[in-house]
Amino acid sequence: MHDPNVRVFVVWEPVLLTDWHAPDSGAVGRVPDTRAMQYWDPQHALSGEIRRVADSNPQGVLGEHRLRAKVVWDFVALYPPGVRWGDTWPTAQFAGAPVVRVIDDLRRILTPPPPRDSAVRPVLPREQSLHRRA
Amino acid sequence: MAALSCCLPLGPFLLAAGSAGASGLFVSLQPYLIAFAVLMLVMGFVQAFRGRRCTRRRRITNIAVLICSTALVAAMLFAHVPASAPQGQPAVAAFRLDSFRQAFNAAADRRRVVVLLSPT
Repeated sequence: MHDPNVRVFVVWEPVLLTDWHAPDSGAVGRVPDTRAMQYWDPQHALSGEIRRVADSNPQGVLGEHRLRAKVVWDFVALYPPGVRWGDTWPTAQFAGAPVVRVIDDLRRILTPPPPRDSAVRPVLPREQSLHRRA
Repeated sequence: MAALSCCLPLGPFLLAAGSAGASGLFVSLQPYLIAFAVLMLVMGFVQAFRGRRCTRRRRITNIAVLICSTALVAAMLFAHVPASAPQGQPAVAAFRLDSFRQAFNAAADRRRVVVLLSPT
């Protein structure tokens, strides 16, 4: 998943009782990738925006696996190139929650298939014997 | 009056500490509760240093509560400042819908992953 053409937006928001402070260095340090930008959203502004659109299109916005909470959290979504956020929050190419449940599916989507030329070609026994004769 | 001036500082200090703590739970009321906490702290300081005729034991209690309340309010104030971002990333930003929309659309030439997480 080392595609340089990916931008990651990490939005931290208070959900649990223990979230009485902004994310500390331990939390933000969990995402050290330079392609990421991190935000602290104590008012749940993004969650509210997503929830508003999800009411009419839960599958497209929140994905197949989603949490039944009022606040959208522990959530990940992928948006393809060209998709823009206009009047409303856009529909995702892939979305789901909790992250631990859907991360493998997201990884599969983000990982490009290996190019055909680099596929390992098995060396046939016949070829080996030809080399020996030469 | 002497007794009042000794006992009353406890009230503002406890109110300051209580409202600072409550601001952690009631996120939408946070700015007001923190402002109230700071105001109560100032009131407590004023009353604590006016009440010089208190007994020694009472003054020690006042100073102990004063220190605890100040520490709690300070912790709550600093808790609003996010930690610095890892090397190579822009600073952790306070979320604003408009600026986030701009950043999201500015990266429209590539794939974007949006993650919403709880810090703990």
